[in-house]
Amino acid sequence: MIRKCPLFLFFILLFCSCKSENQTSANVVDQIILSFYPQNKSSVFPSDLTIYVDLAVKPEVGKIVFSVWRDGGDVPGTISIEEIDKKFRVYFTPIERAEGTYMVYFGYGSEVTFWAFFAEGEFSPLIFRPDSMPTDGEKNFPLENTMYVSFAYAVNPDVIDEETVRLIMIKPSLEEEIVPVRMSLYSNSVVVSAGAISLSTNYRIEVTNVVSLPYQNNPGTLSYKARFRSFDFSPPYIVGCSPDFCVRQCAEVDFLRGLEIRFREDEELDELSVLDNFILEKNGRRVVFSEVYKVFDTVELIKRNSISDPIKLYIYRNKIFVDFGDGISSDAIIKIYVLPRLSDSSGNLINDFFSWCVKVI
Amino acid sequence: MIENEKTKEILKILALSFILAIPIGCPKGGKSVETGKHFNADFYYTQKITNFSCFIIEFIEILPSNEVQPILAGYFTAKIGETSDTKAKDVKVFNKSNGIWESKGDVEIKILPEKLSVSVILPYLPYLRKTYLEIKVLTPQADELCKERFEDLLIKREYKGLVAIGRTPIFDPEQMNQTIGILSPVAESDIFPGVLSSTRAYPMAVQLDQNIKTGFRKFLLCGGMDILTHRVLRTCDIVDEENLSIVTGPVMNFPRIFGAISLISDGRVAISGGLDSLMKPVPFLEVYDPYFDIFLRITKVLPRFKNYMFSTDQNVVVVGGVGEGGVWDRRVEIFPHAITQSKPAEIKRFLYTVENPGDFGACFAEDDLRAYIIGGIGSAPQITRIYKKGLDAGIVSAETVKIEGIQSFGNCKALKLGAKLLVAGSYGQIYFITWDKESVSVSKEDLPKEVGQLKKSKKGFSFIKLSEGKAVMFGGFDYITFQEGQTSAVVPSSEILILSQDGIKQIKRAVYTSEGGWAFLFADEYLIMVGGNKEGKAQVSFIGSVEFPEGITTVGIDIGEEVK
Repeated sequence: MIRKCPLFLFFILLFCSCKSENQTSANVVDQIILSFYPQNKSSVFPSDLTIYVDLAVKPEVGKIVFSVWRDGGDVPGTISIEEIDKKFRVYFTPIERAEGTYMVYFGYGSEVTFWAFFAEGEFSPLIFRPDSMPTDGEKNFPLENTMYVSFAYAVNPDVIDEETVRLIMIKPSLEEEIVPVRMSLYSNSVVVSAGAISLSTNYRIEVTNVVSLPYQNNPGTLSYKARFRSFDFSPPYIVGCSPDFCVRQCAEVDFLRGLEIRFREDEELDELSVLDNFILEKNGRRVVFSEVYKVFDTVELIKRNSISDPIKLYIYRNKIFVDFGDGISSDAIIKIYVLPRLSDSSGNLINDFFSWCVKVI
Repeated sequence: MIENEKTKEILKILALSFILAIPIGCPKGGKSVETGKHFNADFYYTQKITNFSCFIIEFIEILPSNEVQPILAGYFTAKIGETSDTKAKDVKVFNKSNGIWESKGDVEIKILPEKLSVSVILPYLPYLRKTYLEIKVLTPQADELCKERFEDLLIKREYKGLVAIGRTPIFDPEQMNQTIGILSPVAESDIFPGVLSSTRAYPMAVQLDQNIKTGFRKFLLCGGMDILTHRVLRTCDIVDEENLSIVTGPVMNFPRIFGAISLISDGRVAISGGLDSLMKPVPFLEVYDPYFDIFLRITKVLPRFKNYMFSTDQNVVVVGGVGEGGVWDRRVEIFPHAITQSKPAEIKRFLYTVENPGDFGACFAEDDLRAYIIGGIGSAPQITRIYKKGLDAGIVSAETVKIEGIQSFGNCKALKLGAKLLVAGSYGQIYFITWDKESVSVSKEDLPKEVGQLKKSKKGFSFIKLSEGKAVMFGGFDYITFQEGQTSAVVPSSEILILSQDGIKQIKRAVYTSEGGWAFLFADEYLIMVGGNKEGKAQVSFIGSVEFPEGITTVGIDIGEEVK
């Protein structure tokens, strides 16, 4: 008997260590708290939100501690008890069934339990209202304003950089220069700040090839470009002309192929105001231009008249040019009028009347 | 006398049983130990393995010279998915004393839907205590050819037609008899058919703990976005390396994406900031207690996202990030660990401002002593480092260095690998920066371009430290310019770049492109990429050496010492 004892003890030891995971059943019998709902870490729809704990004994109301928090704040609610199949179900009914993470603490006597679950409704991917500041074509954009481009979709913040977000200054020569900016992202909006931008200058904000969040199951890449002009309070100012009629009032030439009026370099004329307020007379008769072109970034035909006289008008950003085709070689008087309502694209009127002439002799 | 003999015999058996029983533990299924020592390894195999049928199993010992010596080997042919159970053929054991392979031992293989469960009976324990199990998968389909290749391997150590390799981590056979391994193609990436499936993208991830005996880790992945539903998540997953599983983790109090996470020295985890489901910054910090498996404390903090958080011995510190209205937050929030204790009255917060707090696009890294704030769009590239010890003493001690010769890091991501700071910019370069007491030195490597690509940059990628010696850059989007003046084409990236502190070491291709994927390195050799793709499949890429396990030479496992 003595000899068998160590062997027996050994196997008991081994048995115990092997069965330790399953030895909780005896304890379960005495448990008061049997189960709870919703399960730990589970999710429910807010409309279905019911919290309860099943007890093995009929509880005394005064001994129940039932606390619920949502997103860290106390959840007000009522407690009720119902007997179901020899179990006693203690309900916590929140006053408001809202989305969020719920933490529940339940204590009765010496037993306590706590758990967390969450309530979330159906989810629709977010769609935002696209917007931008400045908008495309905007004039008089304040010099120190923050710019933003808002997309319909959330944007991946990791793809926002100097390659995907650029502020470009367009020089009168049409040469482009990248302006150093600070940038950021807020939700669906790319936010750009350049400090102070220059007066009376054209810019283009480009947000290109940014990636929606997520990229998958979405449009993928998003792009937006807007051209705008910074604050411009200066009226158009004539700096020169050719031939030099604006200096001499009336210039004399022996051959006239074309004439031009030059404005300040940073000027941007309003082409419609030029059409109405730049008048040309040839030998006492108002010239009707056969074609009118706007020559800003591209050459754009904006007006055509079916007439035989091939005189064309070109409206540059800071220049008005008249092309007389084959030219005028003799006996002609060209009168040039600039009316006060000629304006730049920011709406600044020239507010003066100019009258010049060119004699071809 | 006879009685005494019997007593001695019983005691001997008892002693032997005791010695055997302790490391063996409780054998499953009640099968008794016959001869030798039992080992069991579950090899989780990837999808392409089902195309092959020639498998060689080896039980390998690592010699002090870092050479490997198989001590048991066998082969089997089986069609995975069609065969159920099989036994290895020609099982042999290497006799060290005469250098001859002897027919001994036994290997059984259970072919299960996601794994090969390999049971090995080794007639004797190797003298040294660093071993691993390996499966080599070779191209031959026919049994005879497979046998030929097996013999070639035994005699000449040649393995022609090696297509896949399976390995367990290195283990001490006296301490462990149960482990797992991964079996995946050698050259190309592959997917797990089922294990580690997840459609979570952009999680906040941290290593929770590590089993001292087995080395297997648990990771906590919280929040992010479900790539299928686009919902910002409030749930967390726990990735368990020990059985390559994802189990439901705790529920955060708020859905979050692009927040910050940090492991506190006592094992709890703090999460702060991020964007909620309406894409607004979350103004709360909460702390997960693994003991209770719940987020217990919530503390009001500055609302910000793309922020960074690190822990010191006594504090949790939040830096950087985009605050309300898209403004970069310059403030440093410091919370003593006591915030997580039970009394709300003890919640404290200290606010500081560091001089060079980065800007939008800045990235962060840390080591034991310091946290780094790197770059920021719109300012000259610079690095600010904040000393952790100073913070615990109530001083924000920081220094900044300007990085010369670089225009911008762009929207970067960073990590500390050994002595170097690795900064992956968004303009197609990775910078390797050493900042010692006297000076800063920077080297850079351009991202590899393919033929016809004029310029390439990568954005929105995952940049993850895998071990003390390795990091990975994968997923995101390649911005490729093919001709001068042409707009960049945006292509979801399938590139996987394995980095060391010296440069790009390997380039692999993923099966699925991903965004916001997370990765870890199994046994220092198998890169496992989880989430970030709508297929939900975990991807595996073998980045080790087919000759010997990477663990032999990498930090953490030192040959000649016991595996702890």
